[in-house]
Amino acid sequence: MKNRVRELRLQRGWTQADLAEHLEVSRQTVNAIEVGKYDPSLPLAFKLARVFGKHIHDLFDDRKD
Amino acid sequence: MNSTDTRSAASPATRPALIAAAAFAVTYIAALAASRAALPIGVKAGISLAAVAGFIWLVAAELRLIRRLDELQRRIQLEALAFAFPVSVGLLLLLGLFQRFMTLPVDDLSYRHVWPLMVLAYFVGLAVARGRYQ
Repeated sequence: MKNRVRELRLQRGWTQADLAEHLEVSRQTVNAIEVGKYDPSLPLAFKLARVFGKHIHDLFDDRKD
Repeated sequence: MNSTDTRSAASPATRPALIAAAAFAVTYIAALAASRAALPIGVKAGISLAAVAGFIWLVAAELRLIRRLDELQRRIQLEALAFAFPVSVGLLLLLGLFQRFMTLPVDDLSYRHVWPLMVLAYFVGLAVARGRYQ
């Protein structure tokens, strides 16, 4: 699933470790989400959306193209 | 509690599990050595029970560690175990079948050989699972 996590993180000038601390997950988890290797659970997706002040559908796109 | 403590194998969160693993290894090796030594059976049994206590400590430490992991780290652990369990049991099954019609280089093959195989397979599975999500 495509997502805008990296883009939104960089807009805030955060490192992956900064975002990981906000989400209370490991930096590896943030990296795996950003590169699309791992799709987060619904609770973590909500947490991500809250951290960035967005809706989930603003962050994630499940369309193939 | 900050789950980012679990970022690497050498982090403070993993230290109790590593200490417990080392303690178990020491007590297990001591029990193996004692089983071959000329000692009273009560002493042998006592040292063997110490290895069991070391194992219980290791399991408790591992469970505490797993509960502190985030969802991806838990998935990685699950994939490592999902690899390790069938590989180690399957290998032992295969060796057992071979043993029925040929002499294997290992004379004393028994169920206690499952766990070192499982540990080895776990670390292989862990490396593969970690690589998948990098």
